Amino acid sequence: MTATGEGTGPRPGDEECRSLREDLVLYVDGELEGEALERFRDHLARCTECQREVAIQRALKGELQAMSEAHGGPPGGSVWDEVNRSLARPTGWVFFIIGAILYAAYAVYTFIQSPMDLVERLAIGLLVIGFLILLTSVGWERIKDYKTDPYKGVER
Amino acid sequence: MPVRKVERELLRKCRAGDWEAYEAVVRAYEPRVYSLALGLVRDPDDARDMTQETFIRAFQAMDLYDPDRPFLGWVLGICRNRCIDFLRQVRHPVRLDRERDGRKPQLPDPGSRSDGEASDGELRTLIWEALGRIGEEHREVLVLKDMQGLEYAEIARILNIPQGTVASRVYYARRSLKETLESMGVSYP
Repeated sequence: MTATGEGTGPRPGDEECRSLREDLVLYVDGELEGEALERFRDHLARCTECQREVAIQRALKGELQAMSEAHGGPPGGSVWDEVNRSLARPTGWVFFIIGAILYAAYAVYTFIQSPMDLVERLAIGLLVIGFLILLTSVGWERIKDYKTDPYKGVER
Repeated sequence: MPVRKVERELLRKCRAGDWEAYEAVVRAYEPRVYSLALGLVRDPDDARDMTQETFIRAFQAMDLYDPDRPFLGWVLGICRNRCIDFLRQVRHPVRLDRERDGRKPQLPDPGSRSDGEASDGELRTLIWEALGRIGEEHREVLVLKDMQGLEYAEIARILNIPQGTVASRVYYARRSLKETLESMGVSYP
């Protein structure tokens, strides 16, 4: 530490300057208070190197602030519409699935209660079961392909 | 009504599922969230996506929000984490490099919306480029501190590091930015 009397002051890289680096940024950012602020001001009055450093840091901070203000909002306007859509979609799916299950249950009940003969009942039953098996197998295959697809993360 | 009280009331409504209140919150905070995302991912389209995802996640996690904490810091924390995840994915890409299609990552013109003189715009463009050249850790604290104007305590909470470490990083980050500018031929300030 070589901070001495007036005129000589600490030299660049001095221990005192190094120990006050955190205080220096807090000072630049207006977050240094109390005794630490007084101590740093005393040092600053004697140290031309830290005065220069404060000036540089303030200037850079000012430019970055101005740049941030110049960015404005997202290009293409607010993101609200997309956010709204994404948040509303799952609710739509829940209603759709509940509705589909209720309708299917009602269809099965009506089918059982209907006055059809056995052959007609069997034919419709086989058609529906066959359709469900095909649908499940295609869906399962798609899921399996997606899980093992090495290019699924590729952005096209 | 004081701003903080209005914010609390809006957020209380959001937690109760009030759609209109959340729209007001999104519109109020999106410029700040976008600015952080842009500073971190450095591409306007990607930054827009990050902004969008941040607000979707924030709504889904609204129950975890502590009303005693500023909402801005909380939502910026979500955005920062999302951007870090995104940058990790980009760094280990399975995705096609955009430059391969002849489309280079687009840099915004930081001076284009400024009322300042052309030289200000040029300087900001250089600073923007220099920001892209410094380390990610340094860029992150500069974006949070100087571009977002957050307090050290809030940054420490977002980054989960001690406040002293944040101050030290800010110091070296600004020095690094200055040295990078000098290496680009800019004597600054």
